[in-house]
Formats: sequence, structure tokens, C-alpha cells
Amino acid sequence: MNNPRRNVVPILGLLAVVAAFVAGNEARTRQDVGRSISTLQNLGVRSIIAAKDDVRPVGEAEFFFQLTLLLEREYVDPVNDETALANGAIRGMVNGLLEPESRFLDAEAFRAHEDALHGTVEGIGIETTLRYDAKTLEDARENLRKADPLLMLPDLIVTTVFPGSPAEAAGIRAGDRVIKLDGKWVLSYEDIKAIRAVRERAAQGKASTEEVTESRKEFQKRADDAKLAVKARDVLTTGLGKRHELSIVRTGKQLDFQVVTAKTPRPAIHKAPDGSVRLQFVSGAADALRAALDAGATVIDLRQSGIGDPREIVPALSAAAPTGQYGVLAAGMAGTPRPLTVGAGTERPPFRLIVDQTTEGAAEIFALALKKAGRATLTGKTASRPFYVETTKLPESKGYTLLTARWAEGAGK
Amino acid sequence: MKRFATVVFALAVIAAVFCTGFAFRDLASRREVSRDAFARLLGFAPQPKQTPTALFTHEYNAILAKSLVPINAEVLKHRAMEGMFASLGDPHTNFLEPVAAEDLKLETKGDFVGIGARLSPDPIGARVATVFKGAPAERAGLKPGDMVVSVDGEDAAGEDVNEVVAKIRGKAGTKVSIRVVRPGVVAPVNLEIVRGVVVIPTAEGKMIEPDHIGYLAVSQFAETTPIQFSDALDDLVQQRPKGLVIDLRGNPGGLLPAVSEMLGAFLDGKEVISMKLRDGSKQIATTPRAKTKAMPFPIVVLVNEESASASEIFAGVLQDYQHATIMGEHTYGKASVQTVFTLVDGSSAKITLARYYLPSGRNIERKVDEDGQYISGGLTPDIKVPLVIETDTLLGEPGRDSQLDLAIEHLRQAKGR
Repeated sequence: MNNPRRNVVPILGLLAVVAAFVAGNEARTRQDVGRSISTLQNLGVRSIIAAKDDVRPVGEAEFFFQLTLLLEREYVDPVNDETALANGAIRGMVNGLLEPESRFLDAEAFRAHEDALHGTVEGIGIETTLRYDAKTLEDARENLRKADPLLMLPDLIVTTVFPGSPAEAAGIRAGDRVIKLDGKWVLSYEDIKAIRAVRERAAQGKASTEEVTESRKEFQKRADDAKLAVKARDVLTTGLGKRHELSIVRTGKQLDFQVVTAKTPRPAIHKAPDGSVRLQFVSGAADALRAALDAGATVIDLRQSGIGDPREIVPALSAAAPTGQYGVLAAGMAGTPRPLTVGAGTERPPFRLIVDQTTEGAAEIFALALKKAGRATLTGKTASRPFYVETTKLPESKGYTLLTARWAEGAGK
Repeated sequence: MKRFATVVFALAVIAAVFCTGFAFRDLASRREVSRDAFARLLGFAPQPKQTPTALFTHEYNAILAKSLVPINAEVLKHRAMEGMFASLGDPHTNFLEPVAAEDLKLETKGDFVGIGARLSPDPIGARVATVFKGAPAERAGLKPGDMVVSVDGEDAAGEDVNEVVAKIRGKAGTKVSIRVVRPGVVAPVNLEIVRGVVVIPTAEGKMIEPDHIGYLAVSQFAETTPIQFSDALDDLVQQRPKGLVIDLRGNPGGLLPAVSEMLGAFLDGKEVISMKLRDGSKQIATTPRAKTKAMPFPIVVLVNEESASASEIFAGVLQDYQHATIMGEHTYGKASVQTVFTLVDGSSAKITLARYYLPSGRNIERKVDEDGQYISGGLTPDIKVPLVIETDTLLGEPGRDSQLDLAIEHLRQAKGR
């Protein structure tokens, strides 16, 4: 009994057992998380659940991992797909930016987006944007609860109608606001403002109470059969061979269209009969532009260009102009100016660019950069949306776009 | 030889414990132990390129570094968690950032420390919309329609309502002085109010004359609702009404124990709902015993699509035991029970734990189409009555509320029990 070894063995054994458990758990955590997040936290999912007066900040990795565990343990249905949870979190972040060009894309929408950047457009052949009420958007970005949720409903606006598309054939134009799709109303802040204006006028005695009731009833009818603008956006830009009925508003008038979705080719370069060359910023745009300029093209048409692939901007500039700096890209949250520099440029005589309100994204950056350097003359005014929009691929065939920079002249010459 | 056996046994135990630790994640969440994880551990299967946590963290950092639109790191994290919860496709499983979590707590408690008035925005400043009965504001003489122009000597005219509310809030027992402009009174009025615990009125009754029919509106099922409901009901029953209307229109629900307690006035120790948990186990909620009140008159419960959750339990149980006639429109259709976990950074996680079934065994879960529009679900009223919107429509006012009018008509023609 007094043999000291007899006392040590059970204690060592117990320690070994505990150590084995912790080691096993740690091995799993490393496998699932990719790095260690303190085994003790992993053992007790409750560590993120507050006890009395237990307040501390939680890092994003721990937050995500712990909530995954909590959902797995508590949610009424089995939760097995953690990648889907991660994709959901990414969707929340991207859409939480409340920035129309930063979009989370589900599998089908992502494929359509990628195809469009590789020269084939699906759906009715348009690009759209969401236009928010400026004041409400400002409030919402500062504090989501400060913004009136009804006024957060955006307008759905056509920004580009690709040449040769079903939309173009039907007569849809850039600037049109989509108000109805397949019998469902796409409601926006403008509808809310209109009904409130009637109420306001009634309060001042300038409208009858019947008018207020009428406008309220009409709005209720539309709200009962509504489609969100973000959903309508996906419907219009995906699919083949589907018939859609849509109504738009153009300069205060409602127009109705029937359009069947189809593949619209979006070639990098398209030669028009008048000798001008139309350029689209899809993959391969820079090479095709170089070939066209070498062949003697002097007029480049940049209308109906869409946001485009920003990776083509620098190669396209070096195909069109000499080495140098071409303005700046204001990038990241601080809007830090990053010079847009072109190496291995090409010396060419200045040429002419045809632009208008539909020249945006990569094409607009290209146009403004050349104009600033005195390498091209512009006929027309661009959209003032020189956006640099990057695309990221995610697992499960999803992805997202993110507005990362906008072009600016920058300091200096 | 014996020594060798002991060593083998000890190693086996340690290996088994290691495996248990490795599979603990699966065991704790009561699901099948992942064979893939073991295969990867032993090197039979390749390590995935990226774990979900690493994937999330990578994109979080990328968005934070690259987005041109500024967003606060804390806000971005909370948006992510909201999106993660939303990906389950259950509208009632939500992540609530700290402010939203705080609001939910206040709502379910049904009382708060303050002066007991609701303010609404106005171009000139904050306007007093309602003053709660018996609250400090009422005792001090604050009136609906008053315009707050200063708080504790600080100018409040033209300020955002939320900021004015923040200035008025404070600890129980402390004083706040408010200067208000009252319509029709030339000089501003100065009021001194002592902050205290204010109970939000969530169950209010009145007698509708000349039909002599009791009307009891329940706006939510908070912790403080059962006692208010019981008092209001006693008050009406004493007046021997010819019928009773319980109005649950627009009532978003609340706490299950509150409903069970309130149903005790009608049903003695009866099943309210049965809940089915994720592991298949069942839990049954029942009404308390010996709490019923004698109510020798017919009862109508008014509902609409904004009646959800606890409201649907209340109405559905009375419908199943044929204790009341349900009138109005179909209800929302929330057939699940949630628990709120408070997290260490002040946010909270509201998670659906169970689905519930009414005593008749029916499940009322809402079904929607891809645009989120209602297809089916909710309680179907015994008598469908749409609300006719007129210019002067005001819910709860006979003559100006078409659903209430028909409920009264129904009760007048119904025979007493």
C-alpha cells in the first residue's frame, strides 16, 4: 500500500486518458478549422454563449466556427453542409455592403456572369443596376436600423442593352426602369414615396381621403404580388428560350414588352459596315484590340459595353498607347490612389473613341485614361461609372463580384 | 505476460479515448460520426483544399481589404453571421447583432425602465405619440401630441427621435426634466419626471355598447401579458357580457409559457402543443390546473395574416377544443419554437429547436413560393371575414372595423353557452 508507484500509476493513467481525449479533439479541430482555436473553446460550444456579465469581443474565425457548432447542435434539422454555411456568410457580407455592383451569385447566375465575361450573354441580353434612394442608402450604410426599410427597395434600371440581343430587337433601351416582370410588380422606394405624397397632400387638404384610400388599396394589391428587384435581375440575365413579359417606365410612360431569352454573342471586336470597330471588355479584348489597331482601325465604339472584365484594362491600354501612367485607381475602403501604370506600351497616333451614357466599367476606365493622356479623343459623355469590379469564384459553383476601385485623374499632369 | 496484456489494454483504452475526442464534435451534435474525417486523419483521403472556416476567413479579409464601399469590421462580421443563419432557409432562425438582440430582450420582457411614453418623428422634433397608463409620464402630466423641445436643458428641437429617446432614457429613480410645446398652449410646459419601471400594455379590454359585448385586444405575449390579460378578463366577466371578442390581429406572438398560462382561463390541464425535437423526442406543454374562469357566453377570436406564433397557438387551441369561433383571415403559419442564445459580444442567436403540433395534431407551417408570397399554412378561420379598408378604418373601433362589426353581429346571434 505504501509503494509510491501504486499511487502514481492511476494518476498517470487518468492524465493519459484526458490527454488522449484533448489530443483527439484538437486533431479534429485542426482538420475542420485549418488552424487551432484553443481546444478548450472547442470542447465547450457554450464558451461563445454569454454567462452573467461575460462580455468580450470575438474574432471572426472563432465566431464562425463556434456558431457552426451551435447550429449543428441545436438546429431542428441536421446541419451537415458547412461549406453552404460559409457561402451563406459570404452572401451576407457581400449583400451587406449595399453596393449594386457587389453581388453574391448563385450557381446559375455565376455561370451566366462568367459566360458573359467570355463572350456569350444569356437572358434577354442586358445588364442592369439597382438604384437606391441616395439619402436612405447613406443612412443604411451608417446604421441599417436608421434607414426606413420600405425606402430601401431599389429601382431596377437597365444600364446596357447588348447589340444583337433579344432586348435590343424588342426595343428596350438603357435607362429604362423595370416595374413589372411576368405579372409581378417590382416595387421600389418610388412607389412608397408616391403613396406617402398622396397622404401628405391629403393632410394639407390638397387631396381627398378617397384618393388616399385608392392609392393605399392599389399599393396593397401590388405588394401582394411582388418580386424583389434582386430576383428580377437574376431572371432577366439568366436562362435560354424562356418567354418573359416585362413592363418598363421610360420618361414617365409605361411600355410593355414580350421577350424570349436567347444566347447573345458578345465578341471582343465587332467590325461595323461603316468601318468603326466596336470593343467589348471580355476576355481576349486586349489582343483583339491590338489586331484591329494594327489593321488600321481609327474609330473605336465603346457604347453598350457593360461593366466588363477589369483584367483586360492594362493589356488594352498597352496595346493602344505608350508606356506611362494613366490616372489612378482609387482602391479599397480608404480609397487609396494606386497609379494605373502601363508597361510595354505601343506608340500609336491618337484615335477616336465613341462613348455615351452606356460607356461604363472597364470600357469607361479605358476611355478616360486615354483621354487624360491625350492619346484619344472622345465623342460623347461617359456614364461616370468607371468601376473596377472583380469576380471571385467560390466552392459549390458560386461566386461574387466586388467593387474594389474607381478610376480618377489623380494628381500631376 | 500479464504485464504485456496490461500495456496492450492501456494502449487500446487510450486509442479509444483519442477516437472519442476526435469524434466528439459529431457526438455532441447527435449526428453520425464522420467517416471522411477519420479517413483524412489516417491519410486514406486527401485533406480538403480549404476548410469552411478558412474559406470564410479568407473572403472576410478580402472584402475588408478590397471593398471600395467602406464597412466597419464589426458590422461586416455581423452581416456574415446573419447570412450564415439565413442560408438554412428558416425565416425564424436568425442572428441578431447587439442592438437587435437588446430590442428583442425588451420586447419579450414587456417592461423597461423609462418614463412610459412613445415618441414619433416630426419635422419640428420628437412628438409624443402615446403615454402608457399609470406610467411616470402620465403622472407628471405628459400628453399625447406634446412636442419635446428640450431635455435636461439641452435643446432637442429638430433632432432625430432616436437621439431624443437616448437622452430621456436613464436609470430608475433618476429625474429628467422635459420642456414640451403643447398644441393650443402658448407658453412651453416644463415637466419633471422620475424614471421608473414601465409595463407595456399588451392586453387591454373594454365593453362595447349597446350590444354589451366584451372586447379584449392582445398585442403580444410578453412576460407581463398573462397578468394584464387575467385582470382585463376578470373585469369584463364581472360585467356579465353577452359575448367576448379576443382580438389577436397583428399580434406577432411571444412566449410559450405566457400562452399556456393565459389558456388556463379556458381549459383545465389540457394539452396546448406537442413539440418534436431534432432527436425525435417529444415535449408537451399544458395549461395550468384549476385556473378556469366561468364564461357563460360565446367567444370569437379575431385573427389575420399578422397573427403569428403564440397567437396561432392561442387561437388554434381554442379552435381545436371548440371553445371559440375563429374569425378574420388566415394566420401567418409559424409552427416552430425558438430559443435565444445570448453571445459573449452582446449579439444573440435565435435558433429553431422544435416543430410543434396543435392538440388536433395539425401542423400549420407556412409555405411560400420563390418570391416569398404565401401559398398555404396558418390557421383557417371558421368564418372568413376580410377587412374592408375605408378611409376612416380604425381597428378595434365598432363601426370603423368591418371584421369587428361582423364578430359582434355573430355573437349577437349566437346562443349563450
